[in-house]
Amino acid sequence: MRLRTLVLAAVLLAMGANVRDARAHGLTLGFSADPALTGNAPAAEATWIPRAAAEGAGIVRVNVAWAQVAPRVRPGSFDPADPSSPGYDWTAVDAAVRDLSGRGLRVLVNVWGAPTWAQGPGAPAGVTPGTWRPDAAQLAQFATAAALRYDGRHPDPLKPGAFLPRVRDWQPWNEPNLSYYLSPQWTRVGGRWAPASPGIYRGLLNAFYGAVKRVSSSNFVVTAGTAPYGDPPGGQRMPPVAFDRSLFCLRDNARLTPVSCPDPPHFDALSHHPYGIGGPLWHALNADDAAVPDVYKLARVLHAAVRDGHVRPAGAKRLWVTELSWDTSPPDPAGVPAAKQARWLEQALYVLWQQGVDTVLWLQIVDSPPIPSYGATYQSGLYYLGGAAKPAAQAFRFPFVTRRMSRGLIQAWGRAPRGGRIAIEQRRGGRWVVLRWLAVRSDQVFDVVLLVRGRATLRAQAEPETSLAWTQGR
Amino acid sequence: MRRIAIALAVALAAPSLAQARVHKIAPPGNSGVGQYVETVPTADGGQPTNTVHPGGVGGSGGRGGTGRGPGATGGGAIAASTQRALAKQGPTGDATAALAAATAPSRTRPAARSGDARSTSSGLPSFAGQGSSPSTSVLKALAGSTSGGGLGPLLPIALIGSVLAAAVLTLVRRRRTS
Repeated sequence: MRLRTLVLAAVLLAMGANVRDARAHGLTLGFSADPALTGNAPAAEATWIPRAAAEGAGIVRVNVAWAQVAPRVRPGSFDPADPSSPGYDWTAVDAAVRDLSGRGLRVLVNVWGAPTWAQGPGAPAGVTPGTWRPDAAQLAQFATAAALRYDGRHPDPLKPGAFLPRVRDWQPWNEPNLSYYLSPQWTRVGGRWAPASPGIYRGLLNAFYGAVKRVSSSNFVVTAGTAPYGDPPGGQRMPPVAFDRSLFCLRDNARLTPVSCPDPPHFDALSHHPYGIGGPLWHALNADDAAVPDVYKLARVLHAAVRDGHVRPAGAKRLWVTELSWDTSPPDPAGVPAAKQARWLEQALYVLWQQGVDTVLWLQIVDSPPIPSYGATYQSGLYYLGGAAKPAAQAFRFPFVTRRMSRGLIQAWGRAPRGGRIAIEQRRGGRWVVLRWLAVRSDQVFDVVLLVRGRATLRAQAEPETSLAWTQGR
Repeated sequence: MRRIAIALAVALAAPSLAQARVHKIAPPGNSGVGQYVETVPTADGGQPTNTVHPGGVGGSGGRGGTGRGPGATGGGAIAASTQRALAKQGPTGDATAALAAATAPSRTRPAARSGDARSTSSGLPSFAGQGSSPSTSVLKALAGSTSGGGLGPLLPIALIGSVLAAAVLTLVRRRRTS
């Protein structure tokens, strides 16, 4: 056993496997549309946006509610493709984009929620407003207006002589496998339930894609993140894997057989929201649901679609996670302890990265006020509402995890908070001893194998940042 | 004989699986956010989304409804001591307890006594109390129905046949060895 370990270590050293770049993708981190970052409150600009940048976030999602920016009743002179048209109110979006871009953060604009006049006919009573068969042509007009407003050449109405920042990242809709965002999810065809939302969403996605790419071919389109769990056919939610199969015109989960797809989906990255019932290693119980370790199911469907030419433009697509979180206790009595949240966060980043995900947006930087209740709100911030940091802030800033591979080998994985040298250290007799030095770029993922026998506590250090420590058994 | 016992155990479990319905469990701390609860197969009672989960899907501000639903555990499907032990494990324990409770066969509850707060405060939504006794439930589960996805009356026949065959086989072997 010892000989085998030594041989393996020699091979690893011979390969120069200090920092594995075999998986070419890095890991970009960011935050989803946390109102503390995007809500234009004074604290956003003064406190939370600077903190987000300091935590190593590279991107922040900004929700753009179509129905709120667009007029409720269209004026006679309304031109939906013109961002300066009377009737449009971009004030809140301008402010968020301005503040975030001003701190060097990329903005992912997430458009959802149709105005009444852009919904399809025949909406049943009780359907969530803005969700019923949104008009793809109208969405394309709105996407054109938004892309023109944030193409970097549109005058800033608050700063004469200046221009509004450039936005490159666009995401049409949110969680289209939930009737809460898109309906209907199913329709009755010949006495059986047939998927409806994937077809509706394909139309919206392609119209949106065409519109923003016409404004600038360098714009980047991310699909709406799918929610992790579904219901049986006819329910309010479609399982995400089933949704993607239908979106990509694939049938039969075992073989993923291609069926006719006259207008295949157009996008640059596929997104998912793998909220976990348990930790980052907890698999969803149903085959077509997808928690953190199940993203490979979606990747499998995506790869089949790419292989069969059911994705445009042709070629490999990236995988994003645009929402993920776990609440903590305190303050939420039903949350997980703050230390566990931190472990789960960095472990989730590793598990997602392993499956090909290259961008992860944590839901929020700071806890939400528990109104109306803890159960209905999120306390998954890296900071408590009062402003104190949770351990998760350190885990987000400098994620580091270890895994015992055998009695003599430990794998250490992490993401460098900054370029330069990183030390992987082991605690021995009350002191930290450097096991390995690594040369890394900023935000680069490192993945190394270390010769460590017995129980060991390891951490990574990139002055002045230190990761959380992990203890491995024998 | 051990193989037969295992086969019997699997066969007895089969009706539960065949008649599986759903229950929902929520991410820790977000039991009131209807979008992210997981549908879990259970032993009985189909539950529409809006009745399984009090929060339902929807609410203001773009995230969820109100109330706290199936994240809690209870309902007597597992022993109280086990529940307490699981509760000490935090959300993972809660989820395990919820799963155990959700996938257990239903128990008929006694009629609520006046002043008995527990009779109305179960953390699990209305799975129990389908109106049949435990023995009837077991018989129904065994008999199943082909329309419900079970094997119907074939199952008990197959079970009895298996037991008889095993008994005959054992007797024959004993005679040969003696």
